[in-house]
Parts: sequence; structure tokens; C-alpha cells
Amino acid sequence: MREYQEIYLENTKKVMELMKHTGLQGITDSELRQRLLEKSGEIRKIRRENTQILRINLIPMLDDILSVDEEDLASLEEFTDELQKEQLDAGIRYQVCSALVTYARMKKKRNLLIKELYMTGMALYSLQILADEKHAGRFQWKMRLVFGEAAGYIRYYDEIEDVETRGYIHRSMGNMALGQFSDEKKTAERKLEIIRRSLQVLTDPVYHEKTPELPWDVYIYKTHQERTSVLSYLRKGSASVSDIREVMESAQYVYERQRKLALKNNRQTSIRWIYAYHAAAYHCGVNTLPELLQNLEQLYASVSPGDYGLDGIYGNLYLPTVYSDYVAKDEEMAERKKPVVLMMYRRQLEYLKHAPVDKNLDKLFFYVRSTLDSYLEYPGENNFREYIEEAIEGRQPETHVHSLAVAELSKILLEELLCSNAEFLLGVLDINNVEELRERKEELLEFLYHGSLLHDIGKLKMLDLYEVPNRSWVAEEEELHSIHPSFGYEILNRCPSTQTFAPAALGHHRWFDEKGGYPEEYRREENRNAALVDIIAVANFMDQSCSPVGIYQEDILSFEEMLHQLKTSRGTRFAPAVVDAVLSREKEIREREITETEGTY
Amino acid sequence: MKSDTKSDMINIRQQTDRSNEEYRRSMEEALRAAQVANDAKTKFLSEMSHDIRTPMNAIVGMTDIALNYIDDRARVEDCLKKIRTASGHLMSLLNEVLDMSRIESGRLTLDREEFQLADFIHGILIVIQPQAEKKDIRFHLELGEIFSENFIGDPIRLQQIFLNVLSNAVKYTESGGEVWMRLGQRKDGKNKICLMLEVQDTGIGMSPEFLEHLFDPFERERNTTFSRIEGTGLGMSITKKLVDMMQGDITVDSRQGEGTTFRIRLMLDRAEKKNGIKREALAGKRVLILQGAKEKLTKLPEMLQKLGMKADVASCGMEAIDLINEADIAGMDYFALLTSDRLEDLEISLLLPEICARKGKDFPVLLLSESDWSEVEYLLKQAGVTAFVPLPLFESRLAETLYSYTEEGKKEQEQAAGVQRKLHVNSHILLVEDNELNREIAVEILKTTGARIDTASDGREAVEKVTASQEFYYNLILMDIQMPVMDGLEATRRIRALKRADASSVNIVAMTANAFAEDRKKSIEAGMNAHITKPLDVEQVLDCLDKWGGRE
Repeated sequence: MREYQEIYLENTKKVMELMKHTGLQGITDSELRQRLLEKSGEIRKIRRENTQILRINLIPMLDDILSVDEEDLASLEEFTDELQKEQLDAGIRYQVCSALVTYARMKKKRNLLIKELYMTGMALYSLQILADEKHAGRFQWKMRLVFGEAAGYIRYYDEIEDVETRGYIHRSMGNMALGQFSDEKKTAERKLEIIRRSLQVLTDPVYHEKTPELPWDVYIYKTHQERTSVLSYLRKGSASVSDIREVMESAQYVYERQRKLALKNNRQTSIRWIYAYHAAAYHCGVNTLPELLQNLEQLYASVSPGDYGLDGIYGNLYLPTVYSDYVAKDEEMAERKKPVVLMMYRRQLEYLKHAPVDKNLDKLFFYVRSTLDSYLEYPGENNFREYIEEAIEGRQPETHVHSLAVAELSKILLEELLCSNAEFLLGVLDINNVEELRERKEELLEFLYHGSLLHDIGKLKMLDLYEVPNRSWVAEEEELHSIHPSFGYEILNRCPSTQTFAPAALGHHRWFDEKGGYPEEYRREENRNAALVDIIAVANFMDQSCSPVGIYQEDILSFEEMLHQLKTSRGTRFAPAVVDAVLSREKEIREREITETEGTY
Repeated sequence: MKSDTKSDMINIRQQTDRSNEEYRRSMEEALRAAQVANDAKTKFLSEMSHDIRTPMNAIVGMTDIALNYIDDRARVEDCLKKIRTASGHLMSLLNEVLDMSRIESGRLTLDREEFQLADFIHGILIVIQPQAEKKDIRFHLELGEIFSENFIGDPIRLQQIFLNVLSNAVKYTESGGEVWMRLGQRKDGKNKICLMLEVQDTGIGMSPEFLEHLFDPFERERNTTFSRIEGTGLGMSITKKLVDMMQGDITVDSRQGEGTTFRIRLMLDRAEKKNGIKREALAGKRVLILQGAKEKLTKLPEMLQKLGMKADVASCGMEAIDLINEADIAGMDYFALLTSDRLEDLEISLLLPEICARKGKDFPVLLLSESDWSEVEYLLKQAGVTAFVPLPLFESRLAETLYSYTEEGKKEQEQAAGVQRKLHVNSHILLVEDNELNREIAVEILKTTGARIDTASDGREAVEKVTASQEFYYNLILMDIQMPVMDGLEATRRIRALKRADASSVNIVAMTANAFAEDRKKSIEAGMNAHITKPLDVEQVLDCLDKWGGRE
């Protein structure tokens, strides 16, 4: 590897280290902010340095990929191999690997082409998995296209002697089935078809004989595992008997293998595989929903509430999530199982509260996040908003601190607007006169507080995008980032207690004049609380552009620069009334900024 | 002059043996008819002069303004744009009046050239569809059985007929309405086809009184709900006359408030089938069809089957990717991709470059589109589109396009081609043109090819220059037609009559502003090889030079 690559990787690892937050339990918000502040400058510095390293050393090579020499080529390959091994930096991997694909095509280097097609596909896989099916679009079809191209070389199998290259062909063929897919019959059937063909090749003794060195059983196992992901489609009732049998076979295969593996290592089969098996039985129609729920309840009961090992986390945090997801499928069932679901949620919170400091934090957060998509709210009994704020939101320190700052700034702006320009707020919370607005100030403040805390909740669905801020984003990552308002909206819009705040998530990056920003789906006139979202949008911009805690930008703006941008975007990006409110309270906001900035470097 | 009235009067004179009473009555009728015709003509003339004066005033006025503000670039540009609009309007007005007068005097002749129905219909659609879309009118094209796609006739005049009827349908239909264009054919003997066009709309319709006069010249109805009607009121009568000339007929059904249906039948000569394509070159080849969001290419698989080809249909981009992958794995290559210009699931201009990168630059990607692709041509060619095929689809056109990408077709093309822009350093050209400005333009264009250019400012000078030159000195003579002293036709005749070895072989190409068929015929008769139209267009001049200016 080249020196710049080594420095880059080292830097990246440093950033990962800095992003690992330890000992945050029980500390106050301002202490938390202080902790982040101690590291944010360093992170930004590395981020800048890494971006510059790539700009100078890597990007020119990619721009002129056809004239790189053998040595440079080898260094690029090594670099992406290393990143792939560490599952790092999908954006850069994508850029480099697709340039190498171009190179291999032009120079007619078949083995290199096959490998780099596979690598490009893997990078795209990492990118598309962050989004959902609706948003993954471009990454999804490109991924299918590159894996397919690599797989197509199976027709030259005998000409290609290199074992590793043959491996890439088999892996690509299996990976054509990867990716998000809808429960739609056609899509699911295609996926099954691709897997079927891939398994046919993988189990064909002729290929085993030709290339005995390849890890055939790993390939076969992974393919079976992928096939079980078609489960939810089967339950919809339109699958053929043979499709159902195939998927069930795969579920059985995966379960058996895990069971044997556990026996061999003298431990119990992990409950995730037992769950998967039960789920398969239900989806394939072997078991009914009540039977499945009963199985899950038994499984849940077998998990110790004090177990913070991986299996314990899975059982205590993830099982309630899937359980409530199944329960929600049937209204009557949802009502009947209400006590069970509520008990599981209460125990989830207890479990989180008593989690030992710093053990398996990543996994803990990973599973608790999954609740965002499936939380089952019983009005009057439990409250999704409180659950998010108590159990989830605070676990991503950067977003939490930013959201708190947005809440504080919003409060100042609201107070100013109530004094000097209350007309701007008419209509929010269905209040149609100025006196009432002033009387119900507390309600308005409460709306802004929760709206601010929740506005970036969509980011938590794509945490991988934000976890290693080791350089500037490439276009693909920027594209993914711009989905977070929509994700936030979808999460919040599901439950009655959070529904009102959904527009705050959807609208905080959209321009006031609707001529810019994202997403286009946000329409001011359709949102009766648009004026409050306008406030959050301005507060969000202010904190994002000059907060010293921020780590997702190369440079933080000075207060003056930020003000200047606000003024020039008055009426276009930002609501004029809100910008005016900032200017009226300039002194107060500035002083607040200065006290908060202490400790940066 | 309305010829019916004239002959009526002559008839009347011959009827002297009839009774006085009868005679007097018919006399009165004829007189009244003549008066009506005359009145209409007077009214028309006065309105016409007004219609002509309006754009003319704009041109004169704007020119004055531009001259006054000659240093104000924006202002001048604005004036010029307005002048261009007014000139365009004036031009179409004059064209129609000229057409009518030519028809009336029997001087209009129809051109006879080969044309393809596919291009013809596509050319109609790209004009009409945007007009309909702009008014939010749903436009439907329904094609009946097609026996022949290649015809000999006058496509320009045919287009005039089609566009006139269709534009009227769109013009007189309110937003939200519908217009149908139905096209069918009937065989009539071995070499003739009766082309049947039906245009139906849900528009405002016409009053029975107006219907009676619909095809009369010099008549136009102003008292409709559409307050200002553009045009001369000559369109329908020109259409009628043109249809008559093509041995056809035109009928109309109309009810006020319900809509109008025009039916036109025309006789066209079938063009002899070009020795054209070898079907066996296409047989067995497999193509991938990518269905679009808008155009459903439902007829395509059937057509390809008729050609002996195989087709896989993808209903969206993702499915196309799956099919390409499958084909690769199965070791089976697609011969070409036929695709719509917009897909339901993904952006075609992003997908095509990926497919092209994978399949290589020789892989034909044919874009089927019913819209005018001149706007997107550059972008889509960049994205990897090899060629465009106009919609609606016609079988032989499709076959020809596909054939041109087979090994056989490519070979034939190579033999026929050599269309690349050549340098003509050894060529000598004589440019005969009386207008100094035009001469300058032509010289500028021709200079870029490295050819040597002599000029003459009238026919006589041209004949003198040729006479004085060495034999085979000139490769090409570009000849204006209308010139003082001696016109281009006469000059050509004299050059051809010269007693020198190159008199009959030197290439003479007419440069003429009027693209009328009869003028072209005359120039061929005078001995010219071809003609190019004015104002001179760079591509056209250079093409002409490539074709006619080379040294054997």
C-alpha cells in the first residue's frame, strides 16, 4: 500500500476510536456536550486531512485511470481490498472499484474485470442497505447489473484458470439475489429464481471438481440464508407450493447448521436461529399466527432479563420488536396481546436502564433502533414519543446534542416572534388569534422542543453513514444523507403520539420558497404547523453551520458568516419572519454561542 | 377568379334559343353568383391587405427601433426576434395565398418522389402532439392494416393536407377534449394504395350554414366562440384542391357542440420495393425490448417475429437488467436493445451508459420514440443510443434499421458510404450568383473545404468562364436560377451545348429559393444534375460538394 493510503487508514481508525463514546451513562446534557467538544476539533482536523489526502493522491488517478501504471494499479487494488476487509468506506470503495472496472474493460483484463465488478457490487451493497427499497433505487439496479456481468463470465469458466476469479464468479452469481426487495409477487419470484439457479451451480459436482479449492459450503450456506429473506412474501398467500418448500428447506438448512455448530462448540443454539426457524414455519404456512406468537413468548421467557451477552441483547431487545410487528398484523390479535406487548416494552426500558457500562453498546443500539420501524402504540397506555426520547434518541450523542441546541435556539426565536411578529404564527396548533397564541406559549414551546428532538430521527436509520466521519462525503453518500428527512417522517408518522412532529422531520431541509432543499414531498401549505417547522429549519441551519460540536462538515462557519448566509437566504431558503427574529435577538444568540464555544481547538 | 361562374355565363350565352323569361332568370342567378363570388373576393382582398400589413408594420417598426438603438444589444436582439416572428407569419400568409393562386390558375403540379410512411407519420405527430398536449387535449393515433410503407408522391403537399385537418381539430377543440387520427390503407390494383385518413374531434363543430361553404375559397367564419381565428381562411379550400389533385375525396360530418369528423381518401403509387434487406441476416437474432412508462410497444414483438427474430420483453429497467444477466449466464447474446425513451422505475439516461459500457460500443441501442428527438438527441447519443426509430412503428422501417447493424448490412453500408466530410483541395468550383451577399456566404462556406472557387455574377459570365477554362477544369458549377442578363436555366443549356469534352459531364447544381417541384423539374430538363435550396445551409452545401464536387 502507498504511504497516503496507510495514513488515510490510520486516520480513519483514529476517527473510529474517537467516535467510540464511553462512560456517557448518567451524565448531564451539558457534560455530554463538553465531552463531544473535546473530540470534535480533532475529528474535523482528521476529516480535513483525509479529504485532502484523497484529493491530492487518489482522485487524479481515478480521473485518468487509463494511464495508471501497474504499480499504481496494484496499490489501488490493495487499498480497496483493505477497505473491503474492514467493511469501511463504501463510498470510496465504490469510486475506486468502478474506475478499476473501466480500466479492466478498456485494457481487456478479464480477471481484474471480474474481481472489480464483484467489488463494485459489494460497495453498492453497503450503500443500498442504508436506504430502503423505495430510496435505494440507483444503487440497487447498478448492483444487480455489475454482479450479473461478473456472473456472466461463467460461460468462460474453463478458460479462466485463476481460482480466486472463479470464486468471484460464483459469489457474484449468488449476490445477484441481494438487495432490498418488495413483497410483490414478481420481485420475490425473480429473487427465488436467481437463488435457485445459483444453488444449482453451487451444488453441481462438476464445478466442485473443477475448483475444489473454493469454500463451497460457505457459498451454499450463504445462499440458503439469503433465501430465507423471502419469508414475508410467502405469508401473503400468493406463493406457489414449490416456492414455499424451497424457502422452508433453506430455513431448515440454516437452522440445522447453526445447531450443529453450537453442539460442536458445546453451547446452546443461539435464539436468533430458533426465532428464524419459528418465523419460517409461520411464513410457510406450517404454523398459524397464534402458534408463532406462542413460540415467541416461550422463547422470550427463556431469556434472562439480566443477560447482556449477544444472545441476551437479541432476546431482550429484538424479540419484543419482532413480536409486536407480528401482533400488529391483526387488529384483534393486537388488542388481545396488548398486555404482553406492553410488558415487553416496559422490560425493554428496564433492561436498557440497567445495561452495564460500555458492554456491547453497538449491538444494544443496533437492536433498540429496530424498534423505530415497528413500535406498537396503544393510545393511553404507552407512548412512542416518550419511548424514543427515553430509549433511543439520546444514544446517538452527536444527533442528541445537535437536537438539544436546535430546541434551545427555537425557543429563543419563538419568544421573539410572539413578541414582535405573532401574526407569522397564526394558524399553528389551530390557534387563530394573537392573544391566544401568547396565552398558549407553553404548548408552542413544547411542540418546538419535541419537534427539535425528533427532527433528525431519520438519521438513526442510516447510522452507518454517520458513524465514521473520516472524510467528506462522495456524491452517493450525499444522496443517501438527503433521505433522512423522509425516513424521519415515516418513523414519526406511524404512531399517534409522534404524528404531529412528522412534518418537522420532513420539512427541516426544504426551502421556504420550495425551490430548493429536500425532499420535494414537503409542502408548506399542507402543513398547518409550517411556521413552527420554519423555526426549526432556521435553528437547524444555525447550529449545523457553526456549532463547534459538529463533525460532519470540513469547516464550521463563524457567527458572522452564518448570519450573512441567513440574510442572503431570507425569503428563499428561510422564512423572512424567522430570519428577522434571529437578527432581533442577535446579541443574545451570539453570547450563547460564545459560552458554548469554550474548549474548542 | 372563380371559374365555375365564368363557365356558367358562357353556357348562358349559348342558350339564346330558350325563352326570354328563363334566360332572364338564369341570367339573374348567374349575376348574383358572380356578385357573391366577387364580393367575397373583394372582402378577402381587403382583409388580406390588412392581414399582410399587420406583420409588415411590425417589421418596419421594429427595424426602425433597432436602428435607433443599434448599440443596445439586448434591445436589438429583442427587435430581431420580433421581426423574425412577424416575418414567419407573413411568410406563411403569402405561401397560402400563393398556393391558392397557383391552384386557381392550374399552375400547381404535384411532386413525385419516394417517401416512407414511417417518417411521414412521425413528422406529423411531432407537430400535432405538442399542440394537443399544450391544450390538454388527448390525442389518439389508431393504425389500421398497412400494406405498403413506401410511396411515390408529394410528401410536402400530403403533409399540408394532414396538418391542416389535424391542426384545425386541435384548434377548435377545447381543453380536456379528444382528437383521434385514424389511418388505414386499401389495396387498389397492384401498384396503387388508397390511403384513408379520418380525423375526429370533440370540438365545437360547425353550423350547417358554414359547412356548405367550408371548402369555398375566400370564405372564412369569424363569428365563432373562438374570437380571433388565425390564418387566411384558405386552408380548407387548399386542402380540398390538393385532395382533388391526388384523385381523392374529402368529406366532413359536423355538429355544433359535438364535434367534427373529416374523412379523406387519397390515391398513392406504391414505390417499388428496394432490393433492400436480406431477411436471413435477421432471422434467429434475439433482441431485448424495454417497455417504457408511456409508450407500450405492444406491436413490436409480433413485428420482430414476422422478421424471424426472437424478442424478450422487459416491462421495466430492473427486469431488463435481469434479462441481460440471464442471457449472459446462459451464453446467449442479444443482438440489439430496443428501448422506450422513458422508463417507469429508473432513469434511462443513467441506465444506458452502464449497459453500453458492458456490451461494448458496437452493441446497437435503438431508441423508439414518438416525440421529437432533436432536443434530446445529443444527450441520448452521449448516453449510448445508436439510432432512433420513429413511432408509430412500421415494419419495413424497423427491419431496415435492424438490418443495418447486421454484418451484411454493415458491409453494404460501408460500400455505399464514404459520407465522411472530405477535403476538396483539388476541386475547382464555379459559383454563379448575382446577389453579392449570397455570393459571399457561399464562398465562405465552400472555402472551408479547401476547394478553389471562381465566381460569376450572371449566366453569360458563367458560360464565358467555362468556355475560357481548360477542359475538365471545373468539377462543379453552383448555379443560381434567377439572374439578370442570362438566367441559370439558359446558361446551363448553353454550357451543355458547348463543343467540349466536359460539356455533358460537368456537374451543375441549381441553387434556388423556391423548392417547388415544377421548378426542380425545369432545372433537370435544362441539364442540371441536382439542386439545393436557399438560403444556403452549411451542411447542405458541403453535402452537395461531397457528392458532386469530387474529382473522378
